Amino acid sequence: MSSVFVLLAVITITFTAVFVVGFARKPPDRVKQLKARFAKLSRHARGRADAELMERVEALSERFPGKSYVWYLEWLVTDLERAKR
Amino acid sequence: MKSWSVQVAKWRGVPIRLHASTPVGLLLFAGTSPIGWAAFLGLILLHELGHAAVVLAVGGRPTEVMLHGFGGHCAWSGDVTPIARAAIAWGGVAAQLVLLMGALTFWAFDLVPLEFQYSELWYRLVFSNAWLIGLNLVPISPLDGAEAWSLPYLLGQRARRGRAVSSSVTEAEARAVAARLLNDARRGDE
Repeated sequence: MSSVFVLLAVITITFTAVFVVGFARKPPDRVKQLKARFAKLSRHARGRADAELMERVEALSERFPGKSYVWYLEWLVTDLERAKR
Repeated sequence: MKSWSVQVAKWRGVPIRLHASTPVGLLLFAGTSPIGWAAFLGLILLHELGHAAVVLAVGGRPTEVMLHGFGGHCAWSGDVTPIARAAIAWGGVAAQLVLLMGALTFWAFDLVPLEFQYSELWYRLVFSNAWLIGLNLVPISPLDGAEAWSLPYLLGQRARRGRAVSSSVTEAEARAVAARLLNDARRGDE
């Protein structure tokens, strides 16, 4: 029976260890990813893309108040992607 | 795979099929004992139904459960998140773990008669079951472990993100208060 308990212990320890690794590693920055995607889609230079993004987020926040910054970024990127298709 | 197989049952609308290669696998893994065959088939069926149950739970659609010479597979369709996909991979092993833990609980409380502990059915229920669990969790495709071990990692990432979201909410609240104060100050200037 001890082999069964060893197996269960190995599964539990591995699961916990992988969870801890996942928790410890920094997840990818969503805002950074979306900003880069916006810059690529809008085909502007970095500084110009940032300025345009700021303006568009401001306009969007007036249209849809109370949403998170990521929500506005996702909306703009999806809108641009749809326009490109 | 569908050819050379017959439908033997249905579970929640999902056809359960038995492939012609099944007896070969049973001979290899369980010998010639009828109890061994029944127990092995039962374990594989439980495993595949575990996958199907999780597919249903995460909003997917199980399309077929097949038992064959190398074990079995659960075909499904649907657009699910990476966490759900990893959870589906755990579904089969989880169903087997429930059975194993149940058997071990009975054993721990001395509820398993001594003669049953020496029977083949007990051996299959505990040891073959544990062996199958271990084998399935080896992180090599096409075994479940290839996808299953991403679940704890993704759960860890989600837990971390959850904490980050709650702190960013506080940050957003602070920004809103600052903006309100700034607006009030501007209005005061006017």
